[in-house]
Amino acid sequence: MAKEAKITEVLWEPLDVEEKDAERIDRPSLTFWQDGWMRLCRNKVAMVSMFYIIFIALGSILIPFFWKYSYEEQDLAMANLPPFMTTYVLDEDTNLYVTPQYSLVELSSGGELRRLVSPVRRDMVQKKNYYTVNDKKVVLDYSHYSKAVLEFRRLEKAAERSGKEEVDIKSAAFLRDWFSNQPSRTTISLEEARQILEKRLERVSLSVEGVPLTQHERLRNRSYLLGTDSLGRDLFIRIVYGARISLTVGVVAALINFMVGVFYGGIAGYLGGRIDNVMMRIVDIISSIPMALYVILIMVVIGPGLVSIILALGLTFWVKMARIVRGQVLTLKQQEFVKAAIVVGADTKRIMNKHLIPNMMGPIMVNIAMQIPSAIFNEAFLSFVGLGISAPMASWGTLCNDALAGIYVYPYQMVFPAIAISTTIFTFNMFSDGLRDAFDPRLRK
Amino acid sequence: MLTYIVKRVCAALMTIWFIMTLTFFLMNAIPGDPFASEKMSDPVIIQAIKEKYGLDKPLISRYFKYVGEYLHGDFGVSFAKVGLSTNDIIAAGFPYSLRIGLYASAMVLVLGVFFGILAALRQNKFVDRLLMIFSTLGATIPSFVFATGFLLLFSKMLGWVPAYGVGNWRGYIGPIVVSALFSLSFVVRLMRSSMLDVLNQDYIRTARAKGLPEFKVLGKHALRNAILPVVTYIGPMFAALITGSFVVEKVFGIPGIGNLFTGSILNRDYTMIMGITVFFAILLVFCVLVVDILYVLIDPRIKYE
Repeated sequence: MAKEAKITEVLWEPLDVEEKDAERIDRPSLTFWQDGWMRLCRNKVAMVSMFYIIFIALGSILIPFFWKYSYEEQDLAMANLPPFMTTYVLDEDTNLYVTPQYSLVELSSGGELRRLVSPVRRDMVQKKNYYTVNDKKVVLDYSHYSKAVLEFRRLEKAAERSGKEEVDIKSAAFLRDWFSNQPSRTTISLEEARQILEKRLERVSLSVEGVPLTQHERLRNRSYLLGTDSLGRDLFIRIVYGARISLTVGVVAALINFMVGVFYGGIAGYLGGRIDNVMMRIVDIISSIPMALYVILIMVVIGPGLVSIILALGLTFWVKMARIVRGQVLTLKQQEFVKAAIVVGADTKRIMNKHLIPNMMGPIMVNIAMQIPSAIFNEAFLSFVGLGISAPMASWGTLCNDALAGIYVYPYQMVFPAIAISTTIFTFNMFSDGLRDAFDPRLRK
Repeated sequence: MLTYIVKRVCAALMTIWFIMTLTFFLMNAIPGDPFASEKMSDPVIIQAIKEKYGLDKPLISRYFKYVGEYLHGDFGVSFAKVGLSTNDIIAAGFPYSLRIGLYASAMVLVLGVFFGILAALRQNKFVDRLLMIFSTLGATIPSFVFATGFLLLFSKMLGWVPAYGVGNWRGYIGPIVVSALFSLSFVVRLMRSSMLDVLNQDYIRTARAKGLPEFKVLGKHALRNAILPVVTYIGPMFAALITGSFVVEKVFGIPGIGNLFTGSILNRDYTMIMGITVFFAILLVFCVLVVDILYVLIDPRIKYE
């Protein structure tokens, strides 16, 4: 029974123009890369890290072009000068800085280094050095401190003999002077005596025309931003140059890993069967060897240097990449589009390049990003042990190694490269974590 | 079970053999020979020395001699330190590395498991965040930065530990702490994530539902399962820690095996390099093997495949 179709007037009314588009997808469809990129942009830590890395990379490329020193330029007279110096004020436009070796450096009152003042006479017995600065006779007297050091050594021995921590003030002149306003005090702990010796006692006294200089001024080293190393090379440009080396090593080694790993893993996964089995057993054996050991052995064979360190890292750290690529290939090759390509008659090379590799770029890229900091880490480690980059080239590991000998006297030479390397590895790790969250589909929620 | 163990032992022996062979051919691929120095220009003397060390024979026969000697536990004589055998040198340096490695491993396990559980129980709270920040820093900052920072702080500024060497027990604090840091931060993360996994399991809910006290739930049901991933990590970590960190031994001036290794490389002492490499490899493979076998005993769910 046909129902009488009743169409009300309302239904005959035309719709609004806007309602026509209600079902249309008006956001542009996103590719895998755009999608991942958007997710990456939302990750603040990863973005900050990315900008830091870009900043370091640009800095390491550009700064050497206009910096006033080159990384290998030596000025032995200006060796081991820290970025901040406590100076003596000689007159309104000259300051004097005494190095830990009791040499005298002349600075402008703004902090620009002028020269290493050569002494007129060195009196080793009286422990006094005589200089002429701006036609004034300057005497540098370090006898008090060196006497105090000797006295302290004696106190140490005495304390060791008696087995007591307390030492007698009377037996050491520097302590007697120090406590001259407290006549009641007779003993002091060895530790406190050491504190007085190392922290409180003036190491030198400087006098001009017989009048002692007392006015101190803390100046920033305007000639060398971060000070100089033991050969008088500018530390700042060496750190910048070290960034070049470290970043080059990181990126190139990761790319070599990528190529070897994709080639090896791709073949193993694609061919499968017995070949796959044998190839993966080899990978198992290689991955059970401590990698640092093999990097070192390869370095021994091909000799130190930038190229060999990159080769050594590239040749040993591809195992993880090979495993990831093999796993990806194994899953991808079962899929219809690969079968279709085989049916159409594409050869293995084309299937690899056009179908498999583009589809597994996500995990591969994440892995590359993760290998960069580990390559930088290993390069620094090798250079630090003395097997990596050697002088006059500078990597951060080399700089830290150079600074190790003088760590107590010139800690700044260690601090700056250490900060550079730690922050760089840290930000690379943060960035690659962000990349993994954004691009590795397995972890997508 | 027995077949599993036999298989694992065979694989371990294969690995050691592979490392021995690779090391031998790598060392022989180095251009030049260790006696090519300006002091010895007389070909007769060089010939005599080569005969003494067997270097005049073809590579293959040297290889078999080398394997044979190593099978008898004879790691050859040092080129650079005349009159000393590699065995003696390793025996002199190894105790230092072993001591540091043992204490560092103990520290990693105790603190790592403890902090990992703590972080998991306080997930996303302040303690957890703090521990995660520390473990990220510990895993990313190179050990030589830690080591020198430690020296600056505790030796120079506070004067609590000696600057160099291991004359007394204080000297061991720095090396142990610094070499433990990296593994420690890894174990904290590992323990935290596996503990979080386990705490969401049904049997934990069951245990709580039947009214077990919390420490029993954690100790008996959660910890036993959550610690398994940490157990697999112990083998390689233990081996890495007792073979000595090159960096830590260098900075703290410890005459351990890591220092010997870098020293032998800088001296181009090829027999030493080979000996120490193979020694490292044997230690590592042995530790991994022991842990693999233990793992099967601990976790009956794993099939001896």
